[in-house]
Amino acid sequence: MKRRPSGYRRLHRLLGVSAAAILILLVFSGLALQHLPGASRAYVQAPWLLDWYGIEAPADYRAFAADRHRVTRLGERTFLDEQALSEAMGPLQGAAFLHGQVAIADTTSIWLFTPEAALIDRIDAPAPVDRVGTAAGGLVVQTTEGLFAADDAIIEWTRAPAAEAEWSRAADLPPARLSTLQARYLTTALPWERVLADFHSGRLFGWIGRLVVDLATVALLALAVTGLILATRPRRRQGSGP
Amino acid sequence: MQMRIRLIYMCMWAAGLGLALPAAAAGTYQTPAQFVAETFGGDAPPAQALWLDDDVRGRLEAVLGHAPKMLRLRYWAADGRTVWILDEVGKEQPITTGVVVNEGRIEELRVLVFRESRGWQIRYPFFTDQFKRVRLTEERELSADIDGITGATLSVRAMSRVAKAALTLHGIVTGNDIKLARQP
Repeated sequence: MKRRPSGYRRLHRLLGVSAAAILILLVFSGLALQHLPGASRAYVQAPWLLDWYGIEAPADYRAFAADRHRVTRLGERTFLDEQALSEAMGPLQGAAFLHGQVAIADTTSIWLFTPEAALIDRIDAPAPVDRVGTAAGGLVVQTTEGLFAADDAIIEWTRAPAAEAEWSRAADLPPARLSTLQARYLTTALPWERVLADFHSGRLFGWIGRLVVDLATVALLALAVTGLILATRPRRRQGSGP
Repeated sequence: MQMRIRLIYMCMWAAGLGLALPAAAAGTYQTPAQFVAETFGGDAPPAQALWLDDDVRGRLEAVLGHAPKMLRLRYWAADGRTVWILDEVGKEQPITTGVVVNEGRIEELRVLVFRESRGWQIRYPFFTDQFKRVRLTEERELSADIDGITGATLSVRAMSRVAKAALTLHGIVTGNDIKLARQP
């Protein structure tokens, strides 16, 4: 007569069947997170998914003119003309164009770019920057500790006497340019890696998703425990004893 | 039964230990300006700029495995020594490293700023001291094997790339790229 499975075996089976679908999805999403190298550099383009996350392009911006170029800060992104700059910059304090280079100041650094948005260098500012400008053909910064001038190569800083400087001023963007920048902003707003991580954790579906993943995780723990118990219990020999 | 319970407890304890390991200590250990000043005893020479033309970019790409991000690199040079402050990505974030090169060999390699959550062990002398006296071989490899650190593989590799880049750059600015490094 066929023996009824033990309590642990029945529990093990029940847990496995109940959690199988979720666990399989967790395995694949986990593997994708571990081994898809491009996920952090690929961005969501689908409007519905951006909407799901509540991601919108900012309406407010801060822009500076640098000769015929425009440097714009939109949200946490900085653009040189219509090119998004990949470098993580602080709040924009101004921009200047000299020696064929665009100098962009945030509060702690001067970033040098070619007009085509290729990064030349990043130089630490001598002190927190209030504004940037040009004087006598050279770059000057007004900082919390006074006025400093850069050398011709824009490498070293020296204290400068008060001088007539042409300071960088805020600029308005035409609406068409703003729309273009907002569209560019959205194309790099949400990396696929974030979506995968949220799917893996259940956060993508709110508290219900997190609860389902938590339950599947507990089921996985219980599967491991019942599996160990079943693996270590002594096997009964067939036909032995009453 | 006793054995089974002990085995289960052991597995749960091992899992808990893995969860309890502390997050790594990212941070700024020394600013580039402080490193340069310390290297030259407080009397640092003016910084110079090396513009990366196609030839230099090609040599750097050969040791870094990727094109350099910037179009120029600043360095400090005096008495045959050069000092480089280089950023190289470990896993996802750049590691800011200061390297002093003297007569074609690394005199000092120091992690200045570490931004990731893992791999911070590379900042300690037990790791960075391995780079002292290392030079570039004709094949643009380091002349010594660098022992890795478990759990910090990507950071270790980044430091090796930085070392090779600094040695290459030193050779370029001194006109002694690889060939004239002193033999042991």
